[in-house]
Amino acid sequence: MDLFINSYCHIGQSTISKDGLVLHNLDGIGIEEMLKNGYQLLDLNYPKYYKMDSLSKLGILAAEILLAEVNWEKQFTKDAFAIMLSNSDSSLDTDIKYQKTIAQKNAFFPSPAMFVYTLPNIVAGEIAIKHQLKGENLFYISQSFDTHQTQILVENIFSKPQTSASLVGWVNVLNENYDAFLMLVSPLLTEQAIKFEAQNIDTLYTHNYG
Amino acid sequence: MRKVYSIADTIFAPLGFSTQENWAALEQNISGVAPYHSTQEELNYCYAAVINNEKLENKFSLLPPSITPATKLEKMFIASIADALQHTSVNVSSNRTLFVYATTKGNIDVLDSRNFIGSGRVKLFDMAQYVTKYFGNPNQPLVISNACISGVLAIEVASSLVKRGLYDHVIVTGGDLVSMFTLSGFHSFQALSHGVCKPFDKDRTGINLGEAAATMILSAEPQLSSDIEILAGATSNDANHISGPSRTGDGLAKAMDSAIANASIDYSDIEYLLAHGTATIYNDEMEAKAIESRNLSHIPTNSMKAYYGHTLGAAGVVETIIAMQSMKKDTIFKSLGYVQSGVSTELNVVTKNTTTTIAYAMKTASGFGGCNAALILKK
Repeated sequence: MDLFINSYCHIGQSTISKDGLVLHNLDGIGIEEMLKNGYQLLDLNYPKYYKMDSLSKLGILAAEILLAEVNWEKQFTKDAFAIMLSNSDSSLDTDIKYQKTIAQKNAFFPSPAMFVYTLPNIVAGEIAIKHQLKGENLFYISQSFDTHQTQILVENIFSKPQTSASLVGWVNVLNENYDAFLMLVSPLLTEQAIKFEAQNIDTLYTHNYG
Repeated sequence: MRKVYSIADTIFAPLGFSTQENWAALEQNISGVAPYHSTQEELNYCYAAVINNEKLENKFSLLPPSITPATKLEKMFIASIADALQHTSVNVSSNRTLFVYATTKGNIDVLDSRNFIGSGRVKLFDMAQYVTKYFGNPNQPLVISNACISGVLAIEVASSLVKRGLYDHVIVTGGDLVSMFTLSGFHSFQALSHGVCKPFDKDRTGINLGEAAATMILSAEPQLSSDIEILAGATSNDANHISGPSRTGDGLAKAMDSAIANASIDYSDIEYLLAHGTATIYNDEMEAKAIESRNLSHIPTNSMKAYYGHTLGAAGVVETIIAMQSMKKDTIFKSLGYVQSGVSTELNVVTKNTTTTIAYAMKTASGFGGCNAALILKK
């Protein structure tokens, strides 16, 4: 089965872009401000966003860029829409914050609202809830975005009849560093579709927006 | 497409450091869960299944030494994988052999500066790479971290890689620790039981945490005629809540439907269900609804959580191994902790060790983030 990248987006250190076009410049701003700007830029109006940790917020923004324009009645089935994400730092950004709430014997204040975000796949859960995507899930960890491994795992997921489309990509946050590169992948040959293969993903992911 | 079999396995847990030792304890319905002594007063009520450090050191000292000091979890992984490999002639240094890890928190204990060991491999990939290098495997490991379905999902993904012919052998290993980190978190959710947990029982009050490292070696060729085939699996998302299961069980039922379809069998073929059964009010109720909705209420069902605690990323591997051994040995263990039904629809929860033949079994799991998984095993 041939698979295509129907659209893609990148929220990197300097820009928010979609399909290779810059939507917003992020020069010199920190992660907090980026997450705030992104919310306004996409006109999200989703109060749950404020309760999320940075990793989930970043994933929600990137997913929104790709999913806001999907014609759900014509293109994809939400029941058969998978989410396959990876990163290198798991939920370490929140793990470190959570550890501070339990590190001292006399200041022991673990919070369930924070603890739940100490799993990397929660970002996939948040995206699933916002867009009601009920298909397959897979979260895996690699040293850096491993496009070869990703291609193999995406082929796995599409070999099942339960998958008609998937969000695929990289969502990583640690301290001030953030990087999200998401693709909407499906067998649909849409107008600007790019063949889904490791080499093409590498090219799109490493594109320099100057 | 090739078939895939589990040719060797090891459960490294408080009940024993090999599958055989674990089996012997399970036959006597012994629980590995015990009162947990915490330095934090607030947690003194809790029970957990913890691996004795001294016994672990003794076991680990028999193995070839690692180049740099290993953490507790790394020692558990290494000892578990080494034991499983003993039973096969798999070439771990071949590029046709892949290591797949399932873990939620890895070396999370090293985040607490008081426990700093090794090189502080708190990153999951660093830990996996360290263990993989110990065995001299040349491939980048695949590390799956998808909450409490990690283990079942890792087996499913690994079996797909063998079926597609990408690897001849995959070593699937799942491991997690009992740590202040996870205990305090489940405590904050008021999800910890004050005694040994009671899955599906009317008096259940929550989970016990446990630690384990469990390993399965998957191969396209069976080693023995009794080796269990991993038929197929599937996952789904509830798209409902990040920390609570769906009230309806629809998400889990969807994963079960997909697994049954992918295995090309019918629900009527299933003769044993090893459930997730965490013993929280909501999880067990959700599972019961899913099981009933697919007319599986009469199928012998058990939970392993009162024997092992909830071993998080390891749970799916530990429990799949038990399901496979149950199929091989025609025995379904008593679902420890269960006396009287505490879910809205009565299930066939096994109340004493039972002898029965099992051709097809199902293993299910659900986790935070709304994820569900189901796996089908064939004798």
